[in-house]
Amino acid sequence: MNTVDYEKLTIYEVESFHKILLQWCGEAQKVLSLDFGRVQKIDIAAIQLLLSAQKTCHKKSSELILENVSSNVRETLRLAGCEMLFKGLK
Amino acid sequence: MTEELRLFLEDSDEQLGFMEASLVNMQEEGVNEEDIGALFRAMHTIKGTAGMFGFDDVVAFAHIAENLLSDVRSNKVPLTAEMLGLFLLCKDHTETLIDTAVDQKPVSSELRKANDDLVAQLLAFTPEGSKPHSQAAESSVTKMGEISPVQSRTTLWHISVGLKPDFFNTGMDVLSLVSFLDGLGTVTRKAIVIDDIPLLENYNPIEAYIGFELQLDTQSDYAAIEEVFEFVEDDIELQILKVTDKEKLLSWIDGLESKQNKVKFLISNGFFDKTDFVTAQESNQVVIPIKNEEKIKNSSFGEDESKVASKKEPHKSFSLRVDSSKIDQLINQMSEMVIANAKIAQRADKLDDTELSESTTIMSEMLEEVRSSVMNIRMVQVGDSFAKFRRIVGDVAKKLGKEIDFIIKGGETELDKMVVEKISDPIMHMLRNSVDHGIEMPQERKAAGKLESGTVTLSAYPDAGTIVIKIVDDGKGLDKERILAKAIANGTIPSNHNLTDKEIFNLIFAAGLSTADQVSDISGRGVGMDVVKRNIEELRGTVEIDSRKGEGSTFTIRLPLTLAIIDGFLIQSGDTKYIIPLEMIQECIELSPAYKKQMKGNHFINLRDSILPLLDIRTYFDESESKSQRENVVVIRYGEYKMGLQVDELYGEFQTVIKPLGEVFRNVPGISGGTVLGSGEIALIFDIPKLMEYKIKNS
Amino acid sequence: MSHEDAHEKSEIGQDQYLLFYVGGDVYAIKALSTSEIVEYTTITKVPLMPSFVKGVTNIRGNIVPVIDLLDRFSLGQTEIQPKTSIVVINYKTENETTQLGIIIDEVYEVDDINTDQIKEAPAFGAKIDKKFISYMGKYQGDYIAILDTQAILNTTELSKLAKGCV
Repeated sequence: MNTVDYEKLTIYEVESFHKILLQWCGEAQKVLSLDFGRVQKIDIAAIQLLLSAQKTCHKKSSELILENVSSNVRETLRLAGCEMLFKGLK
Repeated sequence: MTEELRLFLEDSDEQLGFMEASLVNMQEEGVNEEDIGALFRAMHTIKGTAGMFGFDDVVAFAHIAENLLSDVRSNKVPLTAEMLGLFLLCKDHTETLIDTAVDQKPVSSELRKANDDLVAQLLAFTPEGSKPHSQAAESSVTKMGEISPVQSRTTLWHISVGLKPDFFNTGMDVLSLVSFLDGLGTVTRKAIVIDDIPLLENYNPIEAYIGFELQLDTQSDYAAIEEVFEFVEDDIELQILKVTDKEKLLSWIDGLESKQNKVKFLISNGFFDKTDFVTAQESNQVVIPIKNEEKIKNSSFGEDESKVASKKEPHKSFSLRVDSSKIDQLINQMSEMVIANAKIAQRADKLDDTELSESTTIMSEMLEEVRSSVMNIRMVQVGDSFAKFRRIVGDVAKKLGKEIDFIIKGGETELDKMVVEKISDPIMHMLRNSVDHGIEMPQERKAAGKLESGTVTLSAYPDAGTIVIKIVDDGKGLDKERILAKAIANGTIPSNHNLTDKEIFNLIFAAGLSTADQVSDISGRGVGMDVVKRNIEELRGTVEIDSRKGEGSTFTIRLPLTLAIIDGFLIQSGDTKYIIPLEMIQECIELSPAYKKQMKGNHFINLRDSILPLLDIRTYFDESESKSQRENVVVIRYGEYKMGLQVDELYGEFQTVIKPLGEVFRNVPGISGGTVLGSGEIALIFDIPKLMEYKIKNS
Repeated sequence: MSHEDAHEKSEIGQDQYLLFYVGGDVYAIKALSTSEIVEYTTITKVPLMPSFVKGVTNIRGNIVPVIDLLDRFSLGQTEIQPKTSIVVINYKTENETTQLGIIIDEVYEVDDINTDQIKEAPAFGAKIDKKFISYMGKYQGDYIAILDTQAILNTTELSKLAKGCV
């Protein structure tokens, strides 16, 4: 499991997170699971990036899974209308 | 303070101004739909923008006020006089909350209490059914799939929001907009559009690729929904339509690049049904509608119509906030173009190239048009800014127990925005003075045989290239004796003065001279009128007083239309070229030997039976004698003063872009700036009012 | 020498200087404080100003006051020659930087002067008022005055009207 080492994941962080995701997606086999335990805040720019990561995973038949998602982040995902789009959120 | 925060403050100031204007208007003219609408929108906008900055206290309070206003707007709650008063307090309170939030000050217990009191009062008026949930702030929790309890006259809207690529640059949080929609009603469906998101390899983290499709069940109208997106309207593709409006739906879809994908998306997410996309003629084909030319025409016509329709929505006058430095830059560039064109014209003259000359003439006409358009951007009607004085006059009158009819005239008069802003404080001060010192107490008025209620009139009108703002009251007038006594007592003038009435009145502009026997907290603190005068002079304006004992006083402020460009008249005296503001020139005459003979050593001539004092610029500026044989006189009028300027050469009209001369020349009397001529030379601009004032004072 | 002066001086070594002729003598100013050198162009006289304030000229659309340096030094008035130039100097007031032009006869050189070649101005004996001189710098064997532009362009002094009141 890959730990997402950000407290906040917003437009200010997406540039560096993008680079990390590129690497992780390249390495991932069947599953890319991201530990979201540390992330307390997320914004639409980050959500968009996650959706891109998900697309990228699908393309190479792997799966993106978010784990340990905090309630704040979950709430934001719900507000964006995409809590159903990610695996690992129930 | 960040740029965003500054804009926010500016905007909320404006909104608070709207609120006050509509409330005061309703207090005077009675309750009407238009003002209620304006009030609601203002409160709503404040809530929206405050939300973007996370000013929760402001949002929470505005939400409750807005709620009640929403009920007022839908005629559920009648708007009483008591409520108008309450909303005025709410406006003030909102202002305080905003200031507190912007200054990042903690909310004091006093403020908290005031807040709670107002909330309680607001809730007392709010009908049970529409009271906001206990946790109003929690509107960010989506209620997807939830169907709201059946409310009267709700409409199902479809809203499509596509973020333009540089949306993230706006710093706006699109999710908070989505949650505001929740506040308007119930978001019954919501889906994020992710088709355009590229793979990570091609992904640019700061570009926006997504969009949202939303279905909203609400009592709000088109305009109210559109307003939610007001601040990002340039950064999104927005489509708002009634779910039942098939025509608009089809024309929208038809205008899209990827119609098929959108239709599939909307159907699969349950927003619409397959059959919704079928036109009557094509009822057998379940395909993307409207394929042939004619229909495309039809549909785009339909879209045009809907655009027109949306333009007709009330209060749709869009305004654009532009940093004023951008306009200044434009004006600078314009003036460089004017100069460049003048150079070409000169060259064309030299070459005797008539064709080129004609082209430059056309060019300069066009430049003139562009210039006036650019200048127009800065012009605003004074009415909006005048409206806020109503309440001040009302408040002051109430406090003093006076009855006052406050009349505003000429609110449509246009003036440079910067001038309007800077003149606001002086006017406010003068109005306070008029109410406080000018208008008498009702019984006093009655005794003097006047109507018990006094009248204060604030009017604006253009006059001879300037804008005149007048404050007229029918009060007791200025007390000459008392002004004199004070001025002599504090040494402003000697006791053996021989001042005219006008000069005596003008003494109230001297520092530290207040005529009120009892210093009230309304005005009369001794500071004030001198500051008023200085502020007006900084705007290159003047102020005059006229007053009659027992009948009232008139304050006349004269202001230039704009600060940056004037129409000038170019002259030369000695080695220096000067510009005289054209609007002040009445005529130019030649100083013929006949005139000179008349003068007999005096410095005035008889111009058509009136005496015209002459001022020779050369001697005024202590320069060498004229080399020129011809002497010309430029007849200048300013207000009621006239004078003739003796100059060497007259060159004609010149578009003058005023530029500062700088600190080095600050002491030169009668020169207000400089301008660059077509030849690249510099001409100095006369400050005629200063020149006259100086001359009159020193003779 | 005060501590502050010493600090200032140590910085000087890193600066380039603009060397130029005025009234036959060579003077220097820090190149950093100049913004450009332009050919002498038409100057519009502003009335009532002291004679060393020649007037204003147009530098790229901006109105810039022009000072006759020779006159400012009370050494006469500059005669305009083909090589006469105007050096545009950035002058700092309390809250902004404005531009002023000074008239010079001719540009001589732009070059470095080493820190150890810089000395205090003599207490007296210089042709021009001591207040206009920051330091003396040794350049190619000669001591030349490094001018204090802030003092030369002092707004309070420049803005005094020649005749007091009209």
